[in-house]
Amino acid sequence: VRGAASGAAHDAFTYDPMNPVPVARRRRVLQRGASLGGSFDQRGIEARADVLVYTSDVLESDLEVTGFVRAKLFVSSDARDTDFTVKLVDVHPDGAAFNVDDTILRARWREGYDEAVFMEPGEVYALSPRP
Amino acid sequence: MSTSHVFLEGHRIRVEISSSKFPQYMRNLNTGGNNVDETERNGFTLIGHEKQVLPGSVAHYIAISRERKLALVGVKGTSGLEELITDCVGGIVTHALEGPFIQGSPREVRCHEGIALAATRLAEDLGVIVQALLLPAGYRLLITGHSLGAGVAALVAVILRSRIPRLRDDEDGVIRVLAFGSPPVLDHDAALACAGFVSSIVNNSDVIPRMSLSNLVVMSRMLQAVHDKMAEKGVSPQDLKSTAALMQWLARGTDGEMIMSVDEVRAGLNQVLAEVELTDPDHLYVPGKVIHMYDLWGSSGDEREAEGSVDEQAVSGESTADDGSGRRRAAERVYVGDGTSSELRHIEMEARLLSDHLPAAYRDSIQVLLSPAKTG
Repeated sequence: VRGAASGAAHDAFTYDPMNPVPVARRRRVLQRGASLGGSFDQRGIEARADVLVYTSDVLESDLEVTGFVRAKLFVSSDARDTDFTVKLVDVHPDGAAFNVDDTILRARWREGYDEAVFMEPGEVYALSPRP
Repeated sequence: MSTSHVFLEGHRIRVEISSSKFPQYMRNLNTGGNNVDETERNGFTLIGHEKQVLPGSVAHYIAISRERKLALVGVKGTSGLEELITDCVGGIVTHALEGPFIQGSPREVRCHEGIALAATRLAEDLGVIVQALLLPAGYRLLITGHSLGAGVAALVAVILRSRIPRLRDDEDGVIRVLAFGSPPVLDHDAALACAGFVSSIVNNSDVIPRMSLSNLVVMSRMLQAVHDKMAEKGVSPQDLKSTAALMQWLARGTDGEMIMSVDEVRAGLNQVLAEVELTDPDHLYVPGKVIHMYDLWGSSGDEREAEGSVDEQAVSGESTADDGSGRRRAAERVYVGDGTSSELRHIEMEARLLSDHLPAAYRDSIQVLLSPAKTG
């Protein structure tokens, strides 16, 4: 998986709680209580400025992935606490990008849920969002 | 994460990193607080929050800024579009006021029944706070809302001004309303008369501010005109199996000829508009000064819509996407008028008439309009 943005040492984005990343779902405005589950094309979401996107080269053969998918993030934030989301996506040859699975971690719980540990600006932390 | 999935040959694997997935997960407000009942935001402190929604009343909050001597009242809109449409086509009643809401105005307004009920109750609650606390302490009042909440906000201001003479002093701007995507809620005279204290913001083709009886009259007459034209060409709508089939047929026409030319449609629309009486007591309008945010057909907005490259959008840094299934137009221009402006006098029959109403669509347009790059 190679970086989408550049060969820069890090990629950055600005999260605005007043404009959070939405859950992709079927476009039915009149349907209330639409289910949140399911696999939908993520390209609209990936176009947002607050979503970092990393894409592999084209696979030369089928690749089965079974089991836990672990992500390790090295992060730094100017906020004491924020959330980090990781989404695994299957990109079809036509460009359609379907979500396979995703996870989320609130940074203050990175050392365990028994004690909140806040971040310091400028420090880099290794996060492993759990299943 | 855990999965069992085969990435097929020719596919690519992608990872997205971000900081929110709303509304599945509650937002982190990034304050380090508990994110649940934090009451400080942008210098405002929450002093009241009525969360319960009962028939005929609306949820709302009151927050104050001591520094700015400003009280902010937010009125909740309807949770679903069906409810809103039902609300908008409900009965229109005459609502008696205790006094004039501007100098010399009549002591009654025509408005929608459900909105009048909700606004009367909210005005009862707010009136006490305004008179006992806010006015003596020199506070100004800003009432805001989206959708049904916007309509209620405007009417609450009208009712409060009719009761409390001090609020009628427009030079001070003691009470102001910002109404986002308000349905038509006031009669012709009242809608125009509150321009001094109500600003309504309308995004693009949003159908809700256009959901008025007079516009339904306009639309039905236009449909009648199309129907007549079809009869002239010897086609009956019954011959066509679905609305989609009808639309396709209308676009294609017969023998390569359009059923109605654009000029014919425009002339027909102008004629119908001239026939509809603006001051009909059953016709309601979007209140106050109307700020219409829009983009031009075929202008950059459509180009951006047409281009499909995700990378280019990401590079440009414009977050025009919302729910992952479509690209949204953000308005780039502003027109200032009132509830009787021609832009609002017919329903824009286009695919985005509902999505343009969503709060996120309003936020996008406002962000684009306020971004420094666009003001040059």
